[in-house]
Amino acid sequence: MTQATLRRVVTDSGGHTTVITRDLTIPDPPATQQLRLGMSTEWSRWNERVALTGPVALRRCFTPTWNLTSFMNKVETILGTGCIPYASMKFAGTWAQAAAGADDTRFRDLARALAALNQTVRVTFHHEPRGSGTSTPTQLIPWGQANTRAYQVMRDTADMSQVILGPTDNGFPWSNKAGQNLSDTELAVYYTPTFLAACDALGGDFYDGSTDTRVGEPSHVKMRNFAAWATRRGFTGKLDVGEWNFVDAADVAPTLDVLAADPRWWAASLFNSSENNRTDLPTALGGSWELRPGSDRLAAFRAMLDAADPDR
Amino acid sequence: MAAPTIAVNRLDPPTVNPGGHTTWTTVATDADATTHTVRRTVADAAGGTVVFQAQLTVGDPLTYSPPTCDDPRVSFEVDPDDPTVVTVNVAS
Repeated sequence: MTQATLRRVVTDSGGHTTVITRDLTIPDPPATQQLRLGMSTEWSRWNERVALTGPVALRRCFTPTWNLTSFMNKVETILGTGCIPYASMKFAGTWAQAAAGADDTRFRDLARALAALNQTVRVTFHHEPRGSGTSTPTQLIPWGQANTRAYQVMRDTADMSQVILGPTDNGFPWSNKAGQNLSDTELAVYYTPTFLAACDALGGDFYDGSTDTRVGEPSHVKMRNFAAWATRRGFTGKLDVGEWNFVDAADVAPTLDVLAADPRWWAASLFNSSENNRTDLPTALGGSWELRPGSDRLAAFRAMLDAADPDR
Repeated sequence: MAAPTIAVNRLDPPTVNPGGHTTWTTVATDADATTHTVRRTVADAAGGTVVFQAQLTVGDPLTYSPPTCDDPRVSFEVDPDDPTVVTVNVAS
């Protein structure tokens, strides 16, 4: 951070002068940072998946309801393997209730538990918020408010300097496809200045979107649009990918190009699991996004990991 | 004779990320200005009167210098219609 002193002189007709000064604070731009690549898998099949991909730097995990014990157990397990956790948890009640303070005690408990670890942990609440009748920007306003409250309460409770707080949105609003994408004006309905200012990181889950009957769009298209949108909003914090995947192995190298081109991207986690897959995935994937042994998709991901971290 | 007095020195917002901008408002007044009361009386046909009264400040015209900053990333745009208002730009 830099303190720059602004200065100007005011003079009257008799030549008498007064100097007016004012300090301007200029935060440091984000440092170029290493891109951490990783994945999510079925919780019990991590070692099996890593045996195929080779070592990764990041592991995504999910706690589907508010459960501090389960959440922390997963986080500590991941840290124990040398990976950075990218950990999801839900609010205990509705977004509106959390925004009004209903989860404040829970947020404080979480903050103290994370601070005690004193290690880098990415925390996100209710990733991919759309679904179950919720889809419009207006409906997502309380999601942003609940997230904002969580971050503020946690920072007021304990040292969160090692904890990266921010939302993980669906990725398709940043698609080029009409009917899926949202305009800057629509996104601004729930990404308010207050919400953005509270975020250490902005994340998204970016998928190809192909089915057997619908042509998709590579994830990196949405990632690039996401970063451009963040720039237009003046966001200088971190950007990350909570989940992504690809149909065509040829889409992997361009994905790394997009992530490497902007130093705000610090992490990306491939969804490499047979769980919670949509049922209409392209037949060629064999029923899930998982990377299968011997496939060109697995080889492409391994090449991406090697390119991002030759020493892994 | 005395130097001008600072009346407003406001930077809003006071923190700007590289690539952003802020507004610096600098208003000074002439310390040697004198204040005079001006009056006029209005009367109706019946002789009833009302007195209007106001304060008039007479001071030297003030000249604002171009703003400066040692940080080369910082540049300025002075409002052409109001020299007290300055847009402060911080380069990326």
